[in-house]
Amino acid sequence: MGSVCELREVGYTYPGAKTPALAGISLRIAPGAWVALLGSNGSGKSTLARIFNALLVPTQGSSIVCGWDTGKEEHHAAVRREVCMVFQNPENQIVAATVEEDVAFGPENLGLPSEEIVSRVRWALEVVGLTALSRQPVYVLSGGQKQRLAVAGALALRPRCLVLDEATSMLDPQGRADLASVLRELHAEGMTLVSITHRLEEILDCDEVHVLHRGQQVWHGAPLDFFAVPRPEWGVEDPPLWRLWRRLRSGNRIPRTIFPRGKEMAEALCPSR
Amino acid sequence: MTLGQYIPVDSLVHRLDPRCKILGTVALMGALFVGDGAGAMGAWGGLFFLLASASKIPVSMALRGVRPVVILIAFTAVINLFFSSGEPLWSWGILRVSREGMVAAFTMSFRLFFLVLFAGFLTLTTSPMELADGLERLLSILKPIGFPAHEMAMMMTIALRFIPTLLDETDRILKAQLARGADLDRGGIGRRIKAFVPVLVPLFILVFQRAEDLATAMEARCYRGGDGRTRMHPLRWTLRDSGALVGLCLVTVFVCVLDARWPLLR
Amino acid sequence: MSLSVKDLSFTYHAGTPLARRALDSVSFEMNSGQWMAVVGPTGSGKSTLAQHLNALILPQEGKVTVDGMTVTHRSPDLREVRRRVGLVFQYPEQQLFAENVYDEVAFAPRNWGVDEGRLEVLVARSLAQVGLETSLSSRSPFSLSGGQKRRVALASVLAAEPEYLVLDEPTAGLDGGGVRDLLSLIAELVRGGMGVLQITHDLELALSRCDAILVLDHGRVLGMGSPQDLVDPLCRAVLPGLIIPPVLDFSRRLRERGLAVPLTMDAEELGRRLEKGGRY
Repeated sequence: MGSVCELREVGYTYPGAKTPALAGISLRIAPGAWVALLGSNGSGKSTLARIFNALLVPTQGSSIVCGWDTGKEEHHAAVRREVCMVFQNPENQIVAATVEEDVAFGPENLGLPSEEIVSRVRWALEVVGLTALSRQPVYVLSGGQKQRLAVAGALALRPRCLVLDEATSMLDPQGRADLASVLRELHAEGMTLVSITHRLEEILDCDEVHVLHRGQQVWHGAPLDFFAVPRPEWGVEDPPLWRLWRRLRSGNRIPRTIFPRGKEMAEALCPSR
Repeated sequence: MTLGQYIPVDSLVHRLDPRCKILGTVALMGALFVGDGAGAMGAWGGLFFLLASASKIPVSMALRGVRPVVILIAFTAVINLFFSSGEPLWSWGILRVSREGMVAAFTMSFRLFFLVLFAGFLTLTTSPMELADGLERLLSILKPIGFPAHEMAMMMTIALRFIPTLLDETDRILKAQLARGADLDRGGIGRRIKAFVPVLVPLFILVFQRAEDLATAMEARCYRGGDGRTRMHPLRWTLRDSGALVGLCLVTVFVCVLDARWPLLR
Repeated sequence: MSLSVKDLSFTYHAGTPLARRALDSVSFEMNSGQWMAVVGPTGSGKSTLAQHLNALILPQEGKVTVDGMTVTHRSPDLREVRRRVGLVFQYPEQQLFAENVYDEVAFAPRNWGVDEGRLEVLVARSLAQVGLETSLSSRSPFSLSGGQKRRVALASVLAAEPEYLVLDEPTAGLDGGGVRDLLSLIAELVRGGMGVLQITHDLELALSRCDAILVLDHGRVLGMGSPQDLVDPLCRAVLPGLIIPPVLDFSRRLRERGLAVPLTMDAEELGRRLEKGGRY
């Protein structure tokens, strides 16, 4: 199966801007991968997110999504069925007044028959754990629930890939945790995920990390390699637990395969009998 | 929050196609201008009770919808009663009570009363989504002349969906400005309007940002306008709807004819 | 100089079927120059409490006293209380409305009756406090970056010269660098004598930088004290929505497995103790 997304030397300059928001980005997203796109504000990560689902078309280079060249406008409809997006603001992406009506919005746009829509809506709400709230009006939902609703709305289109553009930035810790568990489940089922974020703990779930700084790709590789070296020059924070993890690792107190998670580290240091 | 007042209950009226209910309401409202004698008003009252039982809506709840307009109705009655032209039966200064005035007061206030009441039944028994769908389907007859039925229905749905959100945001911004010492209670009209600028400007900005974000999100969710769009719960016109509409039209015509033939109170 | 709350209770929509008790007998006291964190899951009453402190909401039961002035319906000091306790809502950049930064920052002092002569000084001082240059005064607040907008909003509250500052999730939506900068700003204000009450979900911040922590849940005070006092009970209480800082959580897990290490958020200290050899 081909890549979900293939970018070659992609650049993007907003109309009227003097400097490009993105330059020289080349990356490949493999099917089933969970890719983290890391960067501080202004790094261009949201611009890159919108290239994945053809909301923006590269002003330089090429982007092929699920085999479709996004440079051609007639391909955009197909691209948006394969790559769906969850945006940062939970409120401003929900169109309908009730939960199930909003999940139905996408399939309705595709012109699917109503039985198909009903079954997709039911399935999507089940995956994100909102079945009990199907008939509820949207305004009673918390921020975290609204984001899960947005995920359901995206899933109802049966995409191959889900792009989360800072989807956790405006959530409280509970909301973040609930969303993360939904994403883990989706990933386990084979969904390709792209998480655009500045929160480092989200990288712990991912297979691959790309770091953006000032519109350019400055690093990519496996998460373990990312944790191993602090990178303040790109505006990336260095969590204290990671410093401790590095220390224990280099002192051979914990195996080199363990991630910087408290539970795994504690288990490695004192294995339970 | 009882905005739109929709009360989800399973009743005969609830199960009717929204197009039937919209057309029925329009017919009733039209009839209120033709059959406006005392006898007709009595008939409309009877129809009200019939609708209340057919829709399983408690009468008190249906009447509650009139509360916001009670003042308007009273005002209309007073104006017509004391300021109409015609042979004065009693006068005091500029106040003149005439027979025509009394009739007009009666007719206008009851007409307003029933207009609001019957419109209320529409919103009590039809969810906002159904209403939008029904309107869209009805107005799409005008599509050949370029009337944007789908766009209007979509705008209506989205606007309704965001009302609670907007209310919350207005409250928040209001509080934020009050916390900064804004005084919205003092002064005449001019001063008070000016004092609301710090509330209105941020609201407008929020709304514009929302419009942009929402448009992007809709595009990302494959929205391309109304063409080819299906619905999760499509509207289905049944025999029951035809029957209800025809029945209602017959009743209203009957009442209007009788009222014209034997006007009680003209 | 202190701000005190005694047996404060509040019910939204009291007497209707929608009644919801947001605060239940909350009591605490805060002094000038103190940095207090209010933590708790969403819906625990934190925002309701914040709005009581500057008289946006008047107490239904209980008492709120600011520098000796009691907050009640008929109190003549209400405006003064509102000036003294500056309230910054979540995402404060949403309240910007003026044509230029100067008018935005001058809005509050103008409302409080400060004369135009003194305004310039106040605006300049507030902008400096939040780390913005006075040259921004003539620019439209909407032409600024997100981070700058937030600072302008903060400056607009500081310009009224409040004695206390109540901040509702001031770091919401900021990235790591933004959070750091904002926290240093707050620390500076506290050093300058301001009493700061910060509503936050960030337990790491509360435990590492604040002088006192108030823990709320369902409108009730679950606990109150210094970070040292609360570290242990907070680790043991499983409050939904309150994330234990990673290093602290790690040290807790190690202790559960019998390792002789302290409950700490200090990664360096924990590292040293582990290297010295905690027994398995």
